[in-house]
Amino acid sequence: MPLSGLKIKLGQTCRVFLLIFCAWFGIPAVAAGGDPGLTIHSASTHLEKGVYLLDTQLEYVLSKVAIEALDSGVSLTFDLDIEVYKPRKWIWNDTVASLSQRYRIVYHALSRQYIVTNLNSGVQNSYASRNTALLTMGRIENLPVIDKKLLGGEGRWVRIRLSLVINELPAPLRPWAYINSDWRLKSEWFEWQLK
Amino acid sequence: MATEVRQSWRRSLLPMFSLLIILLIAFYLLSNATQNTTRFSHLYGWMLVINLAGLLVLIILIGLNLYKLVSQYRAGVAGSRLTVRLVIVFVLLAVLPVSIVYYFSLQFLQRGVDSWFDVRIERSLEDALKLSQVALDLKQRDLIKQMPAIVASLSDVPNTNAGLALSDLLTRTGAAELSLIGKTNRIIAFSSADSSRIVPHRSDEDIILQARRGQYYVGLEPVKNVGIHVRIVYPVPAGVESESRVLQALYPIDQRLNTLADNVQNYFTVYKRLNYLRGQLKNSFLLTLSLVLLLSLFAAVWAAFFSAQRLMAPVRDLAEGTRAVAEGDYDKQLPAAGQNELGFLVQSFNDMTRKIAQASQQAQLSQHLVESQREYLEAVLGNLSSGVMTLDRRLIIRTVNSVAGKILGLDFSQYLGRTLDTIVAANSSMERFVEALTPMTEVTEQWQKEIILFVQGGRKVLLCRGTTLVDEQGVSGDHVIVFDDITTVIQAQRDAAWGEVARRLAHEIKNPLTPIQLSAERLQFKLVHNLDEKDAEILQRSTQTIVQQVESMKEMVNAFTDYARAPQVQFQRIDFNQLIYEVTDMYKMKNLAMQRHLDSRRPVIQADPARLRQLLHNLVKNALEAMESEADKRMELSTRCMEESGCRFVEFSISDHGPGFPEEAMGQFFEPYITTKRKGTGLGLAIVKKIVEEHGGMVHAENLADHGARIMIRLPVIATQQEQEPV
Repeated sequence: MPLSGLKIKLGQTCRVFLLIFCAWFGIPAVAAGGDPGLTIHSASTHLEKGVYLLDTQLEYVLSKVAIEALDSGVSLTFDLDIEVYKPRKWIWNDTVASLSQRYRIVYHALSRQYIVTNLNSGVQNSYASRNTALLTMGRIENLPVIDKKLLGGEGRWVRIRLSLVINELPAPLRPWAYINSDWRLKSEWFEWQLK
Repeated sequence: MATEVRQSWRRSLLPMFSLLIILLIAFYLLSNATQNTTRFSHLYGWMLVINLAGLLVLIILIGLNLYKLVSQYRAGVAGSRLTVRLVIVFVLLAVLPVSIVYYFSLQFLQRGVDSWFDVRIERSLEDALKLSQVALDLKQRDLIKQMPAIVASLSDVPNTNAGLALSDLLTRTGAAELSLIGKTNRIIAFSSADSSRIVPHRSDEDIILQARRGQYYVGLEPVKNVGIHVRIVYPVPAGVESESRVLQALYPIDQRLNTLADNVQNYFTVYKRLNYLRGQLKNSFLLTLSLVLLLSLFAAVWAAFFSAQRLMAPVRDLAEGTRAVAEGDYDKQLPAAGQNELGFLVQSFNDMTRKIAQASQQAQLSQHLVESQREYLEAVLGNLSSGVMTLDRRLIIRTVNSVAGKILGLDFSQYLGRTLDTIVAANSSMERFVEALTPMTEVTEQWQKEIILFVQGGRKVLLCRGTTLVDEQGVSGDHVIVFDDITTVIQAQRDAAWGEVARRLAHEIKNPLTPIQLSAERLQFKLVHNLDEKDAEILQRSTQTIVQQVESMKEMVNAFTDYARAPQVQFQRIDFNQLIYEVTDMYKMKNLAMQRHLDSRRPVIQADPARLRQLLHNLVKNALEAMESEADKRMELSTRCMEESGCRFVEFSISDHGPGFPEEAMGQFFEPYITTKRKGTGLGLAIVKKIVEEHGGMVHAENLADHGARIMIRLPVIATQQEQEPV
């Protein structure tokens, strides 16, 4: 038994290293259905009472491992980074304002509901299905971004990006999430001129 | 020196320890990242890379060490075999316990993590959850039963009064929140037990849509900070208002039930999450543990190499030092190896080599002294006028001075260390010398011998003296032979002796002869007339005899004086054949058959032509006189250029067909006054021998086998006419 036990342990060790290797180089360890990722389909701002309000349509397609984690009681936190900036030619942009909206989705086993909480406002809603929860989470309307007076001039741009916050994952999951592409869910920056 | 060694070790150790410390810090952070610290968790990937890179560096270091060791082992470098053994032992000592600890750690890790989870606990938690759900289902069912009556009461309420109606219903039914939703999900009215709430909890649009279609919804709704509520969405039957309306009601649950259900939900979630994270947790622990193991393992292996090499360095130095000393490098000093036993050994080695070096210097000094003494002795021997030769008891030539080589006309350097016989094999002219010496080596006392040789430069008379050296034990060993070339000395002595004889003869014999002759003539003159005829005749005859004999004696004394008087020899280059022709032509007679076989190479010799002519006249005359009574007179003359062991000479022989030399007189013909002839002074052949010796030659007489005699003369040759005038 000790010898066979050792073999199993060694096999497991090898598998761990193989997993690290695959994860680090972005090779999906398990083939997942669909293309997991976060997408910003549309985003726009409109001025209302001197305040720019954001309307955006986000799409959350979770990877298999993320869904498994969610259904196992792990809460997922998403961050919508919003930046208003003044573009500059030769050097980096001048950030006028930046804010982030955090949403958390967690499965409530007793009620069989997915609870979505806006961590900024504290508003919490529950949904019977994951898809409805994610859809609702992806629909953002009239989110105040910046007071027009604070812009400090014309020609300002705004950009948004949606990402999964790995630091909010449970500690044992975090190291793997950092090196695993299945967990590195992040959208591209979506930018437009503020009008 | 010792501090230098220590510093060099420190220099090589410092980067290694730095690497290990960096790796250990990285591991600490890695293991922390696996736990709860959020600080380093985002660096996890990089720390992993740093650790793996560190391990790679260690592997490369070990590989280099291994390669070096294997190369040294194959090349048979001193101490490499012991180093290999030490490395193997150290590695085994390090690897075995670490491997065992690793194995059991893995076991504990697996079992420890797994032991947190139990199917029974999981089952009970699920059951508890289900139980809670069932309990809450009952509550929901109770509540849904009330709903038809409630919505019926609302159907007659116009939208404008809906607020009041809802407040009334809220109080009556004990609901936490009631809201009436109209077309396009517009909130018609809203009433909440929480007075601070101004917006109702919104329902899923799908649920409202579903309710509008006539299907009510009942479900649990976890409300923030308050707990679980029952949400009911129920269609309001059409009444006073034409638009389709939906009532959404939130009912609180009994506080106790709520708390229990909440607990069950929390525990269930925590357990399920832990169960889900179990694999990840184990993998993280496993990874950290494996990396730590590999680090320890490789560090231990490297340390094994390092320690073995460090331990073996003095031993290797000692081995190399010993080899160097064996090869004669006595100045070898090893670097100090600390204060331990090996250091003491190295110190002793250094002391030893220092002493050996001193002894070696002393020996070199002594050798130099001996060498200079030997050179001095050689110089003394080389400057002696005598030849000196030493032979060992087996007659092997040990030393010969340069004069010996000059006297014998030999290059002795090639015969050193070889026996005397080997000289004869290459130089037949040395045969006499060796033959004469060999029996003398048996003589234990001092001996002296005269040896006559014909070597390059002509005839040589050597006076050899020898003795046997006796060593401390009294055993006779080497022989020392000293020889001098006394040719000229003997010649001078002989000339002086003969000169003295000639002078005496002239003084003692020749001087009285004249008065004798005069007295005899006076007797005859005075008395012949006074005597009778008979007496006068006797007197006449007697005085005649006296006068004749006196004349004869005078001639004899004159001839001897000529022989003894050594005329000054005038050497010049002579064509020997030509001279023979000149002299012998004078003896051409009818009754003489003279055959001349002269060497066509025409030898040229260094000689006095007048003396040589006399020599040839004497020989021809001697031959003619020998054949006086012979009817058939035949004479043969020949010259032959010869070369024996680098010694060039011409051999002249003259043969007659007379009666030959009488056997009893053999060996004495060349002495003065030895003659077999009736006439003659007895000096002819003695003069021949004298002239030959004056010219450094040798003369030899023998009888021919059939009839007659032969005289052979050897004279040194300068060159041949043929060589001088190439055709």
